[in-house]
Amino acid sequence: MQATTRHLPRFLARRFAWQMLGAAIGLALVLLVVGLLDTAVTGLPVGVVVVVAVAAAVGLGLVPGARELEVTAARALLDVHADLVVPARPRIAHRVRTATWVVVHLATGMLVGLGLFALLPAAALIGIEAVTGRMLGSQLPLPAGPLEATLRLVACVAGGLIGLVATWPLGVAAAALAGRVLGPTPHDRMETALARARREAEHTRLARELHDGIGHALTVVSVQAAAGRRVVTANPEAAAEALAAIEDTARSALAELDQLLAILRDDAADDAPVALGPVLEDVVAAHRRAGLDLGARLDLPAGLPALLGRTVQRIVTEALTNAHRHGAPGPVSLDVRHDGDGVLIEVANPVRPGARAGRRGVGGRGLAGVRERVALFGGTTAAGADGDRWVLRVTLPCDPEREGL
Amino acid sequence: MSDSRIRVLVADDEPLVRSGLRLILDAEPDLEVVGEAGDGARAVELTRALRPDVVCMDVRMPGVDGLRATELVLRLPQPPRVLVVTTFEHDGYVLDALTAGASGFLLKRAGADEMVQAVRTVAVGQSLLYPTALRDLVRTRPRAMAGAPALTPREQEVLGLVAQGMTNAEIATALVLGVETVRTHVASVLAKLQARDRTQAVVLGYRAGLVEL
Repeated sequence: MQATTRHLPRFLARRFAWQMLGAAIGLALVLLVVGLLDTAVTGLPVGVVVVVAVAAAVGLGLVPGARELEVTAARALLDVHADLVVPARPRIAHRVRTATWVVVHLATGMLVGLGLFALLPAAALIGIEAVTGRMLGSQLPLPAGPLEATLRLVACVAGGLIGLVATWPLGVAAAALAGRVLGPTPHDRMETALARARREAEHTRLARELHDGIGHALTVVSVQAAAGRRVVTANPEAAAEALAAIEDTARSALAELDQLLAILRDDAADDAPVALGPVLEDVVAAHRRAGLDLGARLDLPAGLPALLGRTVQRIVTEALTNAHRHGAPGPVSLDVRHDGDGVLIEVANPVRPGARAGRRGVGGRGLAGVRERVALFGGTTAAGADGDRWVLRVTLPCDPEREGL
Repeated sequence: MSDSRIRVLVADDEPLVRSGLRLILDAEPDLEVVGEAGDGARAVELTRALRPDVVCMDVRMPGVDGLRATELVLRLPQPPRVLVVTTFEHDGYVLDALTAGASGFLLKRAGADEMVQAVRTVAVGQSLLYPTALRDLVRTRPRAMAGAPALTPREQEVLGLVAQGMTNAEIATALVLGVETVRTHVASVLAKLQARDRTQAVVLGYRAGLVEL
């Protein structure tokens, strides 16, 4: 809006172009309305023409693509730097605003056109008549005396100036108004904020995955490599073991990185479903091999959002590891199922006899980690003793707010 | 010979980190890993039973974490020195552990030589581990202590040199004092700050504004 004198000509030229665009379309509409109505009725009152023309302008504003055109025009010709919105799925508020804007645009344009092509010539004509005292065709009676002639001249100069420079204030006003009318509605702002919050939450989840997964693996690799190098001559067997540990850790870290990168590559991570069933079956099989008496019931849809799937996998792994490490010997049950709203995970294991339920071992970092993860998804975690069994129940919602983005 | 060896306890919830540290430390003739703990509670238990000279303490462990375990271990009669072993330098818990009295910290990504040296330095307690890193670590948090104990100008000067990682002998040379005099000053600083060792004195000194950051 703040145009320096150096840029003034260009500034005005662009505002003027915007107004002439409006004037041209507005004039075409008016001519169309007059032409159509005039064939039906003769001697139309001006009010009717105006009302029908405004209605036609509103109709024009409702045409698909009008919003995009107006936003482009406002950006290019009015230099609006504010955030203008072309909604993919316009709501009623958007349509109303677009129609309003089209009416404002056409009216402003016609006003400027009127000033320039009617007011300015008329003022010039009457002014010249007043100065020369000769009738030139304005059909106004000549001024009666010098005083009236002077007054009329002053009025004509003022009127002419207004007609000439109206483009400036009207252009500034239009630019100021554009941000409000074509900018984001309160609803848009809320959706933007929600989308941002979702993105940030996703980054937090990814950071967490990197920290716990790759960070941990690299730590193990680094320590084992330092150890292996240290003892390679004195204790080659230990060095070989270190190498084996490095190999295993690096390999599983790579597999994990592969998954994480796949998530990152898909711009909308939540839209890239993963088949969780086979992954969880692997986890279950690994724990059975390690000696856990594990009964598993997995009932999952073919595809889950990728990060959600990973989180389910992590929680199940964590819970089974805890059950193995801290639980009493005996059957452990795992139940993972999916209902319309989200995923439910339930793990139950026998409490070690003599150990108080709720002791720190079970409720330690493993559970804290689970809680943090679940909280990142807006889910719930409940853990505690149920008779002689320790039960962990987790719900993870499938992000019900995704609708409409 | 075996009496002069530094006895070390390794506490970390990752078995592969424990086994790596054990390999590295056990390879040294003057070090001996006497036990491994997978969580903080076990670390306290084993410290009480085995009386190690140094506990290499992971920060994040299930149940009793490294921070709490450090506090508990240091409350034992004739406590060991605690070396905090961490994955990430800017882990807020490291500073907490140092404030609580851990004698130093070590990154898990450090090389084997560095790990061995860190254990030795902490065990002997004559100088500070990583003076620069320590200062950077304290810098991440605003000054927190009010009512700093009054040190004499000389004591403050000595504390400043301790913070730079100097030994008593080096400080004596720098200030043209006798080593005994320096020792007295250091002891007085530790007493006034109620610090367990040089590391804790420096951390507290930084946080109380007695040493310039």
